[in-house]
Amino acid sequence: MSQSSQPGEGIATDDQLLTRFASGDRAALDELFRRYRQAAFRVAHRLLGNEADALDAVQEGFIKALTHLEGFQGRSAFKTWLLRVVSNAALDLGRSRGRREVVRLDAVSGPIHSQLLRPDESDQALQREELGLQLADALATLTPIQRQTFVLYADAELSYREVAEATGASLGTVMSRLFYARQKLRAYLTQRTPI
Amino acid sequence: MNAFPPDRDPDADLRRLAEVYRRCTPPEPSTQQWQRVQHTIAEQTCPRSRSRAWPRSLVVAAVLLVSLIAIGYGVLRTGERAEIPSPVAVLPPEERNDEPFAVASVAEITIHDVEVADADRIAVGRLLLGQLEFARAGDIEVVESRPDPTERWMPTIAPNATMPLIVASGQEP
Repeated sequence: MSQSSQPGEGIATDDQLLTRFASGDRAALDELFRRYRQAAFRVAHRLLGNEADALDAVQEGFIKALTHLEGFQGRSAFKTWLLRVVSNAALDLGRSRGRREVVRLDAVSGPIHSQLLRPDESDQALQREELGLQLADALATLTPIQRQTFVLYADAELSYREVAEATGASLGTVMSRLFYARQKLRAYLTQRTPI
Repeated sequence: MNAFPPDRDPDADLRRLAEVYRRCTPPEPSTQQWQRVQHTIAEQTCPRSRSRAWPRSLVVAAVLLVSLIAIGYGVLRTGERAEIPSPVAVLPPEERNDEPFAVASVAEITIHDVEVADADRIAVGRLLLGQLEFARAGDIEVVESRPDPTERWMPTIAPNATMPLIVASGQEP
């Protein structure tokens, strides 16, 4: 799934980068950030619903993960450890800032973007926007732990086992949470008639 | 234009859900936003190189000295430290829906019988969102079939192409 433990051709593994980072190599940090910032952002954005908060959670998560590497100890892949910390930071941030119960994907093909498109593309963009808002509403119906489990699986593309490691739950519990999350999303979206 | 019209078949519904999810991926922040975040992370985490160790020590010593003096004058009234807390897994209380599923490998499973109504609960491939596939009649190659040992019913492939699984035909062998 990542370069975490298997050395590729000329590509440093996460472990190698972490070792270099520990000795003060800024470039190693840059590479780790570049490697995982997108996944971390997607997870945080789904959990918080807006870009600014998501970036805060990513920043806080990276800082915590890198300043507390002793808690990592290589028991799982760095990506799993990082996303665990980022998603927890996002949940904490959501609680402390009074989570927007209706998570909105405001910037998904937003109005400004739509105006720059041709009419047929604009229609598609509007439809996509509407779907995005419905999906956001649907995600908001999940409990925090279901949402965390779901986005770690669907957005960060962690395996069941990695999600289990990241959330501290058993494999079966992860499957259960994903099952019910999917059921809820499907039920919610089925009731809605977009456009 | 309805993404989730009623009365559709369940697996198509799930495919639509996966499709919607993929299409609604949050947009990526700008380069400037990434750089700002990256800079802050580097400032707060990057261990200083050895060449910077000496000036850093000097700065730390100076700060400590000033702090001690300030404390002596009663300027600092609290000893709060700006320390980053250790990351702790946030595990919400057990939830009503948390029913651990039994987990088994493919080799450990043999399906002897299944109700048609339960057929859509059996998925092949990566579950849930992502690569979700349901096996259809055409996906299944029957290598061998034997009658049920007690009922003596003979399994067969359902003729309906949308039927996802092998079902018992009810015919005697």
